[in-house]
Amino acid sequence: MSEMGMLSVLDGRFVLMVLLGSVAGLFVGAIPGLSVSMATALLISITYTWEHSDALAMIMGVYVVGVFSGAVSAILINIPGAPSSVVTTLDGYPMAKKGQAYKALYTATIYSFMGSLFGLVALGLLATPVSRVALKFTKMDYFLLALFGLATVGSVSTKNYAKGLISVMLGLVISMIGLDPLMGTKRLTFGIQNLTGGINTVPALVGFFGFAEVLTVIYNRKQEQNVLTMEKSNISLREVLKHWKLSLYMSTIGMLVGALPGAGGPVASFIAYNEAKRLVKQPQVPFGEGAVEGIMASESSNNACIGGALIPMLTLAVPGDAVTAIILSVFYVHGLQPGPMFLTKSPDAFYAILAAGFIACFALLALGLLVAPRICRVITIPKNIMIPVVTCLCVIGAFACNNRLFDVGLMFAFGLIGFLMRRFDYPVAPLILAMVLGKMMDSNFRQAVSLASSADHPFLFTFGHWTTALLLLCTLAVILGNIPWTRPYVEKIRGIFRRR
Amino acid sequence: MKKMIALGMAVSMCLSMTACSVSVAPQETTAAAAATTAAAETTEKAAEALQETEAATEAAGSELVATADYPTKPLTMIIPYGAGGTTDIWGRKLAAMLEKYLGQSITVTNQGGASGSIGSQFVKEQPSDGYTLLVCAESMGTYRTMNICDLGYDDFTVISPLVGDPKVLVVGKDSKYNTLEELLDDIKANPGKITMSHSGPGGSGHNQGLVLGELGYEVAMTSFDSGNDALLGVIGGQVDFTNPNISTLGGYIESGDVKPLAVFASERMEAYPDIPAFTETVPESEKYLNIPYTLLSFVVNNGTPQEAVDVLKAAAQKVFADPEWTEFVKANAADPVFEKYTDDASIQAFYDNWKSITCWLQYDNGVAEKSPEEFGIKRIGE
Amino acid sequence: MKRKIHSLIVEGILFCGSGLALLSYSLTSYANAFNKNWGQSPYLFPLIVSLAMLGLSVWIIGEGILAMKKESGEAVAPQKGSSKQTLWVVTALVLCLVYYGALAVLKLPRITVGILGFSFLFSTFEIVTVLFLVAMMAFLGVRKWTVLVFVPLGTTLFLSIAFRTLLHVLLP
Repeated sequence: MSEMGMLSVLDGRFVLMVLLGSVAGLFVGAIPGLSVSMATALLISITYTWEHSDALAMIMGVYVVGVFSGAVSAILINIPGAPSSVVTTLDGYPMAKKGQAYKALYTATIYSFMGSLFGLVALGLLATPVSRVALKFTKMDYFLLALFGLATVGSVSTKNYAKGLISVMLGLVISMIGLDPLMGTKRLTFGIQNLTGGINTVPALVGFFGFAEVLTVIYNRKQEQNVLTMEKSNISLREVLKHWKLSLYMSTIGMLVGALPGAGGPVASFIAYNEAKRLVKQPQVPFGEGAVEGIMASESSNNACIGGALIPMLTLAVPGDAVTAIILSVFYVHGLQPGPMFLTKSPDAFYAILAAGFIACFALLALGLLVAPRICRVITIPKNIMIPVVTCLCVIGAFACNNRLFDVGLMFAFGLIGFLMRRFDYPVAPLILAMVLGKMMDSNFRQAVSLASSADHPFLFTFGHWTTALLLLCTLAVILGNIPWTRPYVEKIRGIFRRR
Repeated sequence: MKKMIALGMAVSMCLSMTACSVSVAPQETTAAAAATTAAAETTEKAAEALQETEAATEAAGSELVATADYPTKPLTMIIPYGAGGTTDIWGRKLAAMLEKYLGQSITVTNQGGASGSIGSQFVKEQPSDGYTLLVCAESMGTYRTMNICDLGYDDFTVISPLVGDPKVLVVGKDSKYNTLEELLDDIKANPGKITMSHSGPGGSGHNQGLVLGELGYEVAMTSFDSGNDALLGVIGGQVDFTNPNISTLGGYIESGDVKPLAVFASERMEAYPDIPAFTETVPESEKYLNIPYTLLSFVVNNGTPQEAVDVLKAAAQKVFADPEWTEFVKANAADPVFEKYTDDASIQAFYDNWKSITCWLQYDNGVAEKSPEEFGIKRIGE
Repeated sequence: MKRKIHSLIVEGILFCGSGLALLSYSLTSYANAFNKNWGQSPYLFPLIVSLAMLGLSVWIIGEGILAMKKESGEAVAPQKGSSKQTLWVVTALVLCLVYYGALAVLKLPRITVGILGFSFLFSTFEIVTVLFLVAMMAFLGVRKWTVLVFVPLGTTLFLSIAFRTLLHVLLP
């Protein structure tokens, strides 16, 4: 049945549309400041009048390749294209600095491909069961999942856990600015009208990474060489592919987290990175200094999120992330009704999505391998030419997300804060993740409290569910395991479990 | 870098070319897309719908209501809610159909957040030239008393009320309640213990919870992120019942994930005649249920030139008469409010009545922060 | 010579202060809110975050004190940058602010040029960006005049075409 559906859409026009979308996704996504959601939003307006299979083809192309292309700017200039590529910068940029930009991009391409493929296969085979699991997640679960993500970030991105957590708190404070997600009450706006709408992720991302990088380079410009060199090396596919088993595991994480609406790519990649750090005991290069395993974990999981995020969108009409929210509107415009009956009522649209996704995966592989060796020359551009250009890109990126100059000002301010944070060894990655998750944590936590307040046993009601209990344990384990005073006890408990 | 630039340019060129080649024939594609919409909605009537739409499109060519001065450039429609919600679906449908009669394209933009006040505020700040349209939901009437922002229906010129989206009381498929009586009896027996999820404070779902409270049924209400989210809470078994709009509910009734107990209105719905009306069980609720709680309106800024308002009104009436629109209304089981109030006086009276019922309901229950009296909203019957 | 205070302690005090500020903000806002119910109050979450922040600041101060004891006054703060380095950063920031100000204040006429069937629009953004790029490159030590002329022009043209013309991003 599915093959029939596949074949019927495999005509030239369809493939061409996917390819066009892929190329557009690659370039828009690779420009720092323009994230994949921006790319979809910009390109989607063209597709409104198209036939729906064409529109879906184009959008899937943009989506799949756009998520990958966030890694390109993350690796080459330390500016993640989207929040989900933040983790890629942790190891990607150090690799580029060592002249291994090509190897980093190559790894990112291969594992993005594998991750996307895995996610889409899961979408095709497991859409209904996974959506059932997602339905069972309570409000408290979502809160704990986000908290778990934040707790791991604190630990993976810095040697000092307290500093990581401080960074998380700063991100949460930033996310609180604006109207609160449940009541619409103004918080921390101090009467500034422009802050009422809250702070968009893009100016923060561009500021904390892009502009902060600009300032750091200027600060260190006499100590670092102006021109980075590239290592000429042949990379064997076998060498890169040796982590495929781990990649499958990371993809599973990505797919499952992606299927939980609201968490999405950023959380998935952080959790995967943490897992990689835990499982790979002896990486060739330590994590954070250019370990390919780090890129593998991040890229496998954030691309697997694509298939995952499409599951709740198609079966429950709940967008899993920013991009699927935009795609959802395309569905409605084309008269497709996502929801529990979607798979049975519009199987052709479902197979068109799958087919487009698979084609886009191969487009990703081809484009990645084709473009990587060329695009990584970017790092050989002298820094004193690159830096001004990057500044301009930061300005445009911050401006384009909402068409207001206020965001550009914010971007500069964030850049300065980010620069100071780096100087004093505070990681910025947790801040971005906390910012992205803040609103969701806030509303889910309050909803959980409100739901529990009418129950007979509020505590049992909130934590009695097995997923909640499990998540709570994981979160506590991560937090306590990183606090110097409690670490020994956690290790002891772990030891007991291991002996069994 | 140069190569990157060159590549980028090449790609961009390709893109722009496709964009051009597609936009050559927008009329046909719109019709095709519209036809697909109709077909997806009502499978059995697909063929007729197609013919009808085609006929309508042909007729539309000569039925442009635009004048020489308006509209002369593309319009923007702001949906002050996120993509995929009820307001979004209807706003986009309306925009797609208005295009036919205005002869200009309409770009639909979602500006969600804060019960729709952010998008509405944005429209208010735009020039009153009739090129920025707004499709707003009922929360517009309660922004002031809820102290969300200083906007109200009187800040905008109503082109027409659109539709009401009937609300249905539902419980999950594994729920112990099978009829409305069982649920209401249990609420009476355990006041404040039965949980209900709704789409947000001051929204239509919340208002209905308040109506239940007025009638003596005290429930524990929790505000969820959206109507769909509230519904998923019920399906996932975390909440006892909720009251989603029928437009988001359709698929779930069909798939059997929920049990609809009653439609929250004084009459049964045409599309779902098996679902009893709330008043059948609780006759004393009649006085609260004669207004649509979920209400979409199509408005523009005050001060828009009369000519533009007239053109928009004429275009809207054409849309409402279009079989494609009536099919869509039927397929979504919506309440055709637009049919009932067509002249300015009745529209005004309708909104005044709506405001006084809702605002006082919220204020009396401690939901609204400010007294409706501050804003000159009279208690009904005064 | 006075013993140097460990930078961690200063940072800790800073965060402690912001935590207290947030705490008082959420408490006073809650007191002024008309709907008194912590369960769904918008100030519940800020309250929790502020408490967590206070805890963390104590932790950081503690670490700072420990580190000071261990190293007895030996400053472990990130190696102090020269004032020259700070000056560079400040200059760059000033340049950016001028750029920002120019974008915000200047309203130059829009010129539309048609090339190969495309119409290009030039406005404040293009002109200011070229000047900014030249200034920034000159500041960073680019001395080749060919680079100083062609890179800014090329970049601006590319940005303008890619964003304004093709992606319909509204540039200032």
